[in-house]
Amino acid sequence: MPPLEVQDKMFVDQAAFRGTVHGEADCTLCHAGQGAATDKDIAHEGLVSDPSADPGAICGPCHPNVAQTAVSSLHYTFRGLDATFQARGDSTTQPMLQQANQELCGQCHVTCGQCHVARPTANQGGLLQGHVFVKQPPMEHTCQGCHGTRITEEYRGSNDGLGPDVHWSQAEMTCFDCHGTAEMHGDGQSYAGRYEGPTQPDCLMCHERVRPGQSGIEQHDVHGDKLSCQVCHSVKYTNCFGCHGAQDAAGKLVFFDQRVSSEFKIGRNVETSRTRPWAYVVVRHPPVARDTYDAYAPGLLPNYDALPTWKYATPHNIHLKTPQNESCESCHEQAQWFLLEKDVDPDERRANQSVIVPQLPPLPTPTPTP
Amino acid sequence: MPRSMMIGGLLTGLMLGLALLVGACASPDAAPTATPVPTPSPTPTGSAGCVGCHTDKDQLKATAAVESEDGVVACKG
Repeated sequence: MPPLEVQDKMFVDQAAFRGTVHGEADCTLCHAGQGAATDKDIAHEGLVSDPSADPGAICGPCHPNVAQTAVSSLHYTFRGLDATFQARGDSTTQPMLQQANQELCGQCHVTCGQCHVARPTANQGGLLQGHVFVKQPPMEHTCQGCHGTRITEEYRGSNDGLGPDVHWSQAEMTCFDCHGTAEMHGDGQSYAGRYEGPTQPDCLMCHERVRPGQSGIEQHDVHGDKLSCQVCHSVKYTNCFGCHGAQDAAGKLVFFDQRVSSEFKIGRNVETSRTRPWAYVVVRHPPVARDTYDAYAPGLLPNYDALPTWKYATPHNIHLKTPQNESCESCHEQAQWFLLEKDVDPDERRANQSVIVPQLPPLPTPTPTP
Repeated sequence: MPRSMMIGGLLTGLMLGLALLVGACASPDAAPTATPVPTPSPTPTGSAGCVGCHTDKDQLKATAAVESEDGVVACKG
């Protein structure tokens, strides 16, 4: 998503905004500053550029429920990496890991205004509709600013000509059609990651008729309780390897990936739960490496092998027919689809022992005809 | 109609209008909460400076250009 020009970023469409309830107040009611001043520096003294950074103070009085839950949502706290820091770091490295998180990864943290009024700051901001508050944010200017590197390309089908996700090509479904308000704003509970909690989408919410054991579809009845939906209905997706922090030409700390690949890999499910009971799931390599944070200090992840680096994934490139679900033979005994030891970097094999598939699933034995 | 009654009627009308206006401002369409609701100004004139620049794209562009020459980071949004 290219950044906006400054005159488009900061332009307030007075005619449109003044006609809305949020436009009834003085600018300074939310943004403070010196509203009557005409000199920019003076006018901006004490300015609060993002009043919703404290949702309870500004949004809360009129939107109490959502402001209350938003502060514990992953969008706001960006604490999804905390669990990995706890597992891979130690007590001496936590402070610097937290600093790295705040300065780099944590830039993707968003406030209410960074979806409903402007683009996320991590995407260089910019008012969406001349400061008019947008009830349902436009996904191409908000969600995709942070989740666009992998998900957008998968969903729109720009990866390797594999075609768009069927939910896009056939129905142009937006993010919000599956990811509801409770997931976006949180439900008041603090979860360690996005796959935790009851608010995540479930294919069967819409596709109830294909529920394993009740669908009459042989493949679903045979595999349904063993495989996640994506194992059969997803295709190749982006994996990132060797993500590193470094200084760019201007001296600013940035992250970059040393290697990106397009692969589809089935691994063992190491985080089984009531909502994820399957034995096999699709796994993706997230952007992390043993020396990811070496730009801050070497050895910040002394327990790097404590967690697998091939993680449960839900690629947004769903198709009814995929190369691996054409027939039994197109998947069983086909090494290309499975995360085998040879597919894992030797330096990461120890960390991924629980995910690596030890043996290719054999072809099913034909049922003898009576 | 006696002059005093007309004045009385006018005053009553004004008081009623004022009471309705205050009531509308004091009863926003929101769930009850302990935090006071910011009361919008009926005539938002205190932000003339903000409006003077942020509703004028040319002005915004010119300001940003000057800042860039100075090496100052422009608006971050």
